[in-house]
Parts: sequence; C-alpha cells; structure tokens
Amino acid sequence: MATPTNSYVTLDQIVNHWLLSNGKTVHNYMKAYTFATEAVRELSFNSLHLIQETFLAKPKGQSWWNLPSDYTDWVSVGIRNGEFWRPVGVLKGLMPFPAPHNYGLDLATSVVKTPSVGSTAEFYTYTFNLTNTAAAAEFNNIVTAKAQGMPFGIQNVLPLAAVSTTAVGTTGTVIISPSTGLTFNQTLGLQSVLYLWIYPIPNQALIDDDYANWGDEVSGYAGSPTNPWFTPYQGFLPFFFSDLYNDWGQMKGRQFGLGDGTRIDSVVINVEQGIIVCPKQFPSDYLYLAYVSTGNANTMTKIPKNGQAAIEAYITWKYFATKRNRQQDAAIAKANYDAQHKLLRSRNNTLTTTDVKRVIARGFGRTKE
Amino acid sequence: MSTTKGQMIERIRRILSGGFPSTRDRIRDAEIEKHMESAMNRLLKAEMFNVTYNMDGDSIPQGVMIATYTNLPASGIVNDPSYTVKIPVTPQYLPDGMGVFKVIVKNSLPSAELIPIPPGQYGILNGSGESSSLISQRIGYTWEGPNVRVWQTATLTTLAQLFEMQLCVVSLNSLSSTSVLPLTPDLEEAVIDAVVKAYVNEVRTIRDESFQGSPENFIK
Repeated sequence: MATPTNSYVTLDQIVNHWLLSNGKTVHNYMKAYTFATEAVRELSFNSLHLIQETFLAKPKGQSWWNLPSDYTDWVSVGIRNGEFWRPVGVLKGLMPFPAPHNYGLDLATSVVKTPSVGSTAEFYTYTFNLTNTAAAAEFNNIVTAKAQGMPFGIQNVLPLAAVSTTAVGTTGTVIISPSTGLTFNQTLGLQSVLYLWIYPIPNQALIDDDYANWGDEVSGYAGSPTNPWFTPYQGFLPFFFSDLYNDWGQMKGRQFGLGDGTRIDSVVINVEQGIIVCPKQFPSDYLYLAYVSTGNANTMTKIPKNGQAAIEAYITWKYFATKRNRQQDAAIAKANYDAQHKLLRSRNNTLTTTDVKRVIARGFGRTKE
Repeated sequence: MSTTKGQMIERIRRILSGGFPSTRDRIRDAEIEKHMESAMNRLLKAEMFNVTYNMDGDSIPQGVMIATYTNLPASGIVNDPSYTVKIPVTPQYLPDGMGVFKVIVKNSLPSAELIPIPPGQYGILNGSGESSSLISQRIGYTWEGPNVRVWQTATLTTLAQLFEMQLCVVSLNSLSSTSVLPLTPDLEEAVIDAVVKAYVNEVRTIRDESFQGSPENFIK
C-alpha cells in the first residue's frame, strides 16, 4: 500500500508548529525556515519525493522550454486539448533539430522614413549593427520573414525588403517598401522589426494573441503550428497529427523504426542543458509537466504529513548544531532525527512478506500455503 | 498587589528624607522616576535571564516587560525597496533581537506579523536560493538603531500604513502617577534599594538647614 498523500501540510505550518512546540518566538522563524527548506531538500532525494506540477511556457524567442530549477526526473508530460490535458511522449532518442533562435541579440538601432513627412511613407530604412554571427547568417531569412508580422492591415500582402549586407561587424540596412500599388496604412517603428527579430521563422511569425488564445480563435496563417482549426475529427488539428496517441489520449502503440525522432507530439528532456526540446511542428507552446522535485520549497509548498516529524527533528538538530555550547544537545537531536528519518522511510516502504507472497502467487497461479 | 508609580516614588522619597519628605527636598520626583526606570529595566532583564532562560530554557519574555505602542507612522521614498518606522522607545537588548518583540501593521491579522530579519542578513537571505522564497511570501523587518526597516516596496499605500509595535522595555513616561507599574511585587523592594543606593554616595542628599551644613546659608 502506498503512502497516502492526500493529507498535506505546508512548510509554514511546520515551522510555526516547531516554534510553538519549542517555546520560540517569531524571531527564530527565519532560521527555522531555512533549516526546514534544507530538510525538505535533503529528504526529497530519497525519502520524501515531492511531485510538483507546473505549466511551462516557451519564453519568447525560444523554441524550447526551460526545465524547472528543482527538476530531477519527469513523471508525466502533457499538452492541453480543450479543457483536458492529454499526455505526450517523452523520447529517449536524439534531440529534434531545434528551430532557429537567438536572433534577438541584433535589433534594429534606428529607422528612417522616406519621405519624412506624413503618416505613410514610400519606404523605411532600418539599420542594424550586425554583431551576432547567427543573426547575421540568417539575415536574409529574417528579412523575408519580416513581412508576416508587420501590421499592414492586409493579410498576405507582404512588403518588399532589400538587404544591404550580411557580414558580421558591419552595419546592415534593410529597406522596407510597400507592395506595388499599396501604401502602408500606419507608420512603422523600431518595434515592427524588433518583433520580427524575436520570431524569425516564417511559419512561426506569431502575434501575442496566438499565445494567449491558441485553441480558442482562428487567427493567423493556415498551417501555422499554433494556428488551430477544426477538422472533421474531434479536437484541434495538432492532436490529429499525433502518431503516438489517438484523439482520446490513448496510446496507439509503437511503430518500430518509423518516424523515430520526428514525432511531432513528443518531447526530449535534456537534463544536462536544463531544457525540454520539441520538433518545430510541436502543436503547443505550452507544456504541462509533472516532475520529481529536489524540494525547492516555499512556505506554501505542500508536504506529505508523514514527513513533518522528520523535518521538525531536522530543524531541532540544526538549531542546536549552530548554537555555541549546544553540541551535546545537537548530538541527541541528531539521533532523534535519524530515528524519525528511519520511521519516515519505513512508512513509505510498507511492503510486507505477505505482499511478496501474493506477488509470487499471482505470477505462478495457485500455490499451496 | 498593585503599586502605582506615585506610591513607589513616595516610598523612595520617604527613605531618602529620613522619614520626613518635604516639598523643599532637592531631589525631584522626575529624577527618582528616571532612576526607577533604569532599575526596573535592569532588574526585569536580569530576572528574565535568571528565570526564563536559565530555569525554564525558554526564550519568551514575560508579558510584564512588554509595552505596546500603536499608530506608528512609516516614512520612506516611494519606489524604494524598503521604508522605516521609528521605534518610539529604545528597547532592551535581548537575544535574537527580541527587544523589538513584535511589529505588525495596525489592525491586521495575527498571521500578518512581520518576520524579524537580523541586520545584515537580508541580502544573504535574498541570495540564499531555496530560503529566499520567504522574502516573497512574508514581509520582513530589520531593527536598525532608532528605526525598524520594513522590507516592503514603499508606495503611497504602504507608506500610509500605521504600525503597532511591542517592545521589551519599561518606559515610565507614558504612565501617570496613579498607573500601576509593570513590576512584579517581589521586585519592588529591589527597585527601591537600587534607587536609594544611587543616592547613597551623593553628599548632602537631604537639604541641611543648618548654617554649618549648607554654605549657601552663609550667603543669605
């Protein structure tokens, strides 16, 4: 029987209880709290696994998610399907090729409108200091991508862009002019380009609404991975594309040797880099992640109640251990903490010989007692 | 037994004047009061260490030595990460900074009590990783000389708050002569002794009306 985890206590409650039972005032709160967080961290490694749940969003300009700083192992990963979360696979294979990124370092430094008078213009000249190798190399692509994000009012009518140079260390200019027969319907500013440098990939030229409302609204370009539309199948397009799960989130089974590393609904967790990467076509910018935490606790962290005694014993031990002339008390408190720690571990490990017999019995069918 | 401030002063005056207190005594009530105050603070503190700490091992001071001050204004500059509240009376020096016993926004819930952060430790707490979550969830304060620094962003709203403070101190200024002293009965005698002792070494404490004893009488 697993440890019941439906009764929790917060770290704040543990610290307050310790202060209360030890006749201490709020003046010891900070110290006790520090020891309590330390205890949660230490216990979480082996004896008191804390499952944290979080909702990751890709930072703007990144094509990956950052792992929570207290991550040690994953439990489940999912994406939103309407009002449900559905699981996605975690691949053990090679990392998908990440989408280009990190062009945000070179931003337009100035923009000059020609002619300078009037709300519209014949063309705009954007100036860049090309300091970033990656950005410079992709300068052409970025400028091409520029069109899709600019607020021209007429969708799919792109302005013309002319690039002067792509060499690192030089000053590059981009001249933006309206399509033939059209005029800009508003003045462009630095923000227009800044925006595009953050989202340089043509089919990921998203606007903020895409992030805020994806799944709720059709706005954007057909085929954009974050532009959902309804299909004859239930749910949104991204889920239809899954090759691991059906629309009900059920595992369809594996196709060995097929599509390895290119499944668009799977992620790769790279602990060393502290990131979760996904293929470019991954159908969500948000990721639900349940993971085993190292115990980065705050005062509101919920801790299984069976760990309270051990945490309080730890506080007592450390409290004495850091006091002058209290080393003898610390030794006694340490022994008490060890006892509580053992008790906690034994509570979490309640496999009895009867359980073992039953497991064996199940494996071999009927046995004589 | 409840002895008032006036009664205590009366008893001390009587001893100092050899049983005949007079309005012409050179020692004034206010003077005796200050001596009393010093003696009381010293004795209560000693009592706390002797009894509370050594015998019980507890660190909670007795309520008799706690004084509450309310309606304390905050002062600071808007947008600064902290602001200050002036401490009305310098409290006693006690372990863990318990002289400033409690700081709380007036009329707020008990759970909103501010967390004491020792001087010099706020930056360390801020950079301590896992423990730093405390900062975002509880408001802390640091006792800095005549002020308490509250670690909350100064805004027009926060600066408009009034604070309540509990200090471990005996301050007789705030008591009228008929107010009962925050003094346990067993310590009354000790306070009287301490005050009288302060005057013992002073020459001519009692006004001497004779020509020989008081040179100024020759001048008259």
